[in-house]
Amino acid sequence: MSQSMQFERLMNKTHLAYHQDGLLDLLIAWILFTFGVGEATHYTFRWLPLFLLPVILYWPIKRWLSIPRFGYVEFLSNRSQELLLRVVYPLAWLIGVPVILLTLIPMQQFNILWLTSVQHWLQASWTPIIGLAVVISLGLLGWSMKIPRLYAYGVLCLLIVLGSQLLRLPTFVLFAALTVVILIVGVVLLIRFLRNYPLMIEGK
Amino acid sequence: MILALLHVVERADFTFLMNQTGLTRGNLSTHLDKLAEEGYIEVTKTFENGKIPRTLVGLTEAGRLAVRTYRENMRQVIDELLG
Repeated sequence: MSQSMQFERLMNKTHLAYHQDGLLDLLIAWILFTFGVGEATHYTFRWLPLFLLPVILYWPIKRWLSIPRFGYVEFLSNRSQELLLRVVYPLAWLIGVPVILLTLIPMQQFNILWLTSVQHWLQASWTPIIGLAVVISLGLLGWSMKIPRLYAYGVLCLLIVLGSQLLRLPTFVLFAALTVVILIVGVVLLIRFLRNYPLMIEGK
Repeated sequence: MILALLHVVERADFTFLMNQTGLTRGNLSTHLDKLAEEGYIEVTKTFENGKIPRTLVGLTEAGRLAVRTYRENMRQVIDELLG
């Protein structure tokens, strides 16, 4: 094995170790939970503040809980990856936001036939669309943060989407199932992290 | 090990290096002092929230060059042994 591959492995190992505190899993579980509750209650936008809460709290919690134990590290930036993400993330927003709005806002009032038919199609295919969006998001996140278990979550999501389509289950069941799995993984990782990395303060 | 770790990251603090290398506080401190003396690493002492001390360590250009040279030398030795 070449030396560069060993450095690549060391870099991936370091990335992985940095995210083994379970916080990211808990964050994902919370986002899926709020989406699921939104779907179940048919008030997706009312739950938006709850959806944003962990996104805002992630870094303060990481700095308070994880970094004093694991240590602080700044990773080298991968230029090609950064460039791709700069394209992918805005593209995801550009496509995702109109799709969500188009699905939720009643279009009949605008009297545009093609828009109404697109909305009907979106509403009929809502579960596979949202499932695919979750799979792609998890895949991208796993790739950009070098965390293979996020790919596993993506595959699991895909299986649940297929299962829910076959069994004709509502979308919130998909979110509930994924949330439970990711939540359990997150809690286990957090407990292991707290056990393996006791609090260390420099100079003490 | 310290140089290899620092080669794959931009900068890291003392706690991170201790956890990843498994070295004790005193041992790591001695190694870092020696590496800093040789000019391979740059040590920056800061305070988190103005209270908690944080020692940030990063490779200098000389340090990166030293790691690259070491890698090349090791590759040559392995190639010679295998070839």
